[in-house]
Amino acid sequence: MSVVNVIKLHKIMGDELAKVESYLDQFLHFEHQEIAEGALHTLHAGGKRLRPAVVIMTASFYNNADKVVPLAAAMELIHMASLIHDDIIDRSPTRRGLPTLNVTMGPAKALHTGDYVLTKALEDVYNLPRGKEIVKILGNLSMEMCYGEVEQINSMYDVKQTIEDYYYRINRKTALLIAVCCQVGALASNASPQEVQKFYDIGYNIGMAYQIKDDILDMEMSEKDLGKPAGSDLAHGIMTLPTILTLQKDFAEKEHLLDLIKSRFPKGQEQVQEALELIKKHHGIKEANQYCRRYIEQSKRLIDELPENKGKLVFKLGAEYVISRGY
Amino acid sequence: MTNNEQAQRAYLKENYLEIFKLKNNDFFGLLAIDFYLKEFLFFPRLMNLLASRNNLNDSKARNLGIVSTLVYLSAKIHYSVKDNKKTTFAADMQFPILLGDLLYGKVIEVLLSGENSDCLNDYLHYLQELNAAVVDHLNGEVNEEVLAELRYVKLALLSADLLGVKDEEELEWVKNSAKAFAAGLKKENISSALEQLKADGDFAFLANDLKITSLEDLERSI
Repeated sequence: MSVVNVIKLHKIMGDELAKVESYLDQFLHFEHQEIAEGALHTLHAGGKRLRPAVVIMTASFYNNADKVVPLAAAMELIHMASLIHDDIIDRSPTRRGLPTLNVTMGPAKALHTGDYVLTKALEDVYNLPRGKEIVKILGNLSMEMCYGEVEQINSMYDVKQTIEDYYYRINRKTALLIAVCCQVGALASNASPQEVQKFYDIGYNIGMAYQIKDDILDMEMSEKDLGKPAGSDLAHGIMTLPTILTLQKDFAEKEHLLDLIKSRFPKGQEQVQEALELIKKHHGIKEANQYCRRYIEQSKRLIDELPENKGKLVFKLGAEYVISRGY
Repeated sequence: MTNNEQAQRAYLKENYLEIFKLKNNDFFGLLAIDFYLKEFLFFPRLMNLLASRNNLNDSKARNLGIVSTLVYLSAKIHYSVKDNKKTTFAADMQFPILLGDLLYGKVIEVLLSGENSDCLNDYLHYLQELNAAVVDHLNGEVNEEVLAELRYVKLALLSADLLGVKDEEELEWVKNSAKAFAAGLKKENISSALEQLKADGDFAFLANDLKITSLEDLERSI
């Protein structure tokens, strides 16, 4: 199902996404050779290109998809810059099977490469129609993303976290960026303020669902599919929704689960696996899937409120893809 | 206190210290690095003085003073991240990266909410040049002096230019102020640097701010 949806989605937007890819490739050929090589290395590692797809999906609604290619590309670049920094912060040796810039350039140079890419992307957006308005939104987004990251670091292995704490983090980690992709796609297409807000809300709900699903997949998928051991969030002390929901319950092995987390899994993956089994046994994953589904349903309700347009189908397929996708 | 000074004070409080507050604490407590508190006021003072000396727009100068400081601090905080400095990973690496990123966002917010929104590209170009130079410096291709020139003199001249200062002598004064500021920061014996600055009436405005060592000092100085 998910594969079919993705194909359908990309068939509708295929031309524009290919244009984004080619725009990105050209854009990153900076004068500074080492920075250009680093940025291109990150680009060619691949990625789902979800953010540009969302910008284009929104603009398609106004028959404006071909005009937002530079904006869609810039949203991917901003995401890319944040990934470069995330890889340093998380000490990630690989991303999508390739060494990160953190490894190939070292953290210091990787950090400044990320900064360089970000400023180039912002400059590009600023020079677009309504660029000033959009850059202001992006500035605010970037600040909120930082606040979210700080909370994630500060709350590691904190077993007292609530669902609200989790929402605070994933909103800033993922949902806001997707919401903003919808918002700027609508703004750049001269949508009315009400429609811009509606698209923002749709993006927010899809983004929340997307991150919840990502967190579920981190527990559900095999190491082979993930490219990293299952439960790596938990192993690093990041409390995601399945864990939080499980810890809200009373059950015989609860103290043991708490001990495993608080002691930071001293025996490694074997204990992480044990914790995952307990979370599955007490329906943490199943219930998290229901939360995910609620966000998707809410996004579909909002999509239904949009004026009749073939783009509605694309959005619904996109929303459905979030919940049915693999990693 | 003159009206202009009062306005400057209110603007600095509103736009500075709020940035560093987090959900449950603030950034100051999370960083292992020296937080450069004494560097917070150079650009605002410089811009304010330039506006007075040249009869230029005060509120534009206030906004540019903050923006230039945020640009300066974000770049310098990111520069503090080194490949081999890992006393505490969170404090030496994670939080400085995030604070630098946060300040980039704040640059945009402050710049685009003021009357200098058409200056964004100038600051972005400056940051591109600086980041490229840092990469070259890390490769051993650019020396510390060139980097310091970019970090202090070029940014001060850019800020003055954006404010509308065109007079050659005045720009020379800006350049020398930035050099005096950089030299003051570098001096191991801060008191002798301060005496020297005080003795030189032209740069006396730098002296008190270089004594700031705590958040309380900073709040008082604002």
